[in-house]
Amino acid sequence: MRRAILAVTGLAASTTLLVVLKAAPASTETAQTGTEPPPVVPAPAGPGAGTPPAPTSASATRTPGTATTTTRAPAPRRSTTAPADPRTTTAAPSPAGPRTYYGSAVRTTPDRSFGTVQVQITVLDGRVTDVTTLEMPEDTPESVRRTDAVNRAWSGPQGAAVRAANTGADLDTVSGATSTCNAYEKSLQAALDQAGLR
Amino acid sequence: MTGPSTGLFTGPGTGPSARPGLRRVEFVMGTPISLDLADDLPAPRLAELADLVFDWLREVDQRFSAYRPESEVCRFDRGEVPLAGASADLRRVLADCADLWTATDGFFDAYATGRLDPSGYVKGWAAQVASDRLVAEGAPNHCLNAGGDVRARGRSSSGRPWRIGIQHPFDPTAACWVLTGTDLAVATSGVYERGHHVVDPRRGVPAHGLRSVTVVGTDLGAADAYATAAVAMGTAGRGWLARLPGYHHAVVTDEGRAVHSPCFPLADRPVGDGSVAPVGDPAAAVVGAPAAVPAGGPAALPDLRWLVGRVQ
Repeated sequence: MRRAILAVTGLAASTTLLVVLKAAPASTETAQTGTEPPPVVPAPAGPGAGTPPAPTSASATRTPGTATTTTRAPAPRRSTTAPADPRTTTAAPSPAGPRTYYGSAVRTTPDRSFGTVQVQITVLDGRVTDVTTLEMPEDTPESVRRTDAVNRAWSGPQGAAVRAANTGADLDTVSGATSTCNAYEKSLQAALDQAGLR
Repeated sequence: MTGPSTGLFTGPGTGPSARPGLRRVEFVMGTPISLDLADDLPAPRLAELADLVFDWLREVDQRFSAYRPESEVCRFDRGEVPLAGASADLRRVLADCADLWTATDGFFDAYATGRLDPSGYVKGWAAQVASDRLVAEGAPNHCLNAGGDVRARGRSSSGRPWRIGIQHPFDPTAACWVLTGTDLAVATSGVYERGHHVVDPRRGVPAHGLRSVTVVGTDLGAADAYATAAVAMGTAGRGWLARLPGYHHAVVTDEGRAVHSPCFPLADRPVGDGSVAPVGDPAAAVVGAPAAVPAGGPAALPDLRWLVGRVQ
């Protein structure tokens, strides 16, 4: 049984990601100054009271062997076709190496885009090292353009999703302006559940 | 799974990493609402309590939505229900909105759109009522997040006080503050999620000056209304917030300056040791951060909202 998801909760698109990875055993040693944005983030100095942005190992231990494809790893399906058999995580291979988990296939809102989102994560030592999308809406040229933009920024070992998944390790929830929940995050959360992370 | 639910993921944790309690997420009032029950109660009881909360929230959505023509609010607004015939809950909400209109100098206005729309208060109020009911039902340790408005009580199932991040208005993957406490109502209002949607009721134009306002107190409905009012006030909202008794606040300005009131219940640093910041710590005094605007501008990451997935 999976854990309930705190993260997908009433949070902004990416705020959600802040809290998804929590209390993974290996993450305590990398407990971050949550008041500081991830170091890799291009910019914002957190409004910490003079706390220097101590360098942390935030951006995940990257594995030499980890696949780093950033988009649609296996042959991408056009999401206009019904997702016949969304991929599900099956086995747990060697406990040592990186492991891959699949998020659930999440349908998008028809009036925005017609399709399905499914992500895959790679986990090593309790840290997410990569997030890729297996399926994204591509029903219209506009969807394709947006999908590419999302993948460029969010997916990949250095994408925002990896940073976010490894950042919010210490929060129970996040307060933010009213937002909508998001297929990408939902699928990602399901993948993190599969991985036993939260 | 625990009972009928449209939740995304529900149920108590199992397995080696299981913690006591239950968490559930459902999509109500047009927003995801998450409930984290941390009391070590039997699973059926926890499910019952979660049902209690979400049944109430769905009921509120039915009765108080300004978008459902058949809702009590809309029928009242059309004059089909006299005030004397309104439910006790509606009369309570109307009275609270009137008080808030006064308290905010008119900047919180349930009639800002020209018709009755108390949704700026109802969401926080409904969550507050739900939290109060959980306490009365013997579940004093819980955290309810209604679309970014948080009511946290007691301790999380890890045994420590709740830790609540405040979303960074310019970087959706970051928190600009972390709060901790055992009795907190935290409401954040801002213009970063849905564009400039808070209107200055006096000028009739979108409010500018404050990108994000967080108000912390013990009543979530009021905190939500105060935060919204401060955004509507613009830069002047900071001075108004500072005079608000019983509530603490933090704001991020359009220029990226981040300031908070002296007693804002920040988690102690470094984040991660689980300790609690002493209330009123003078060292945590108002902070003016350097520009927090990322180099790439506020929209550094592509908007994911087009991917919005409705709960099936």
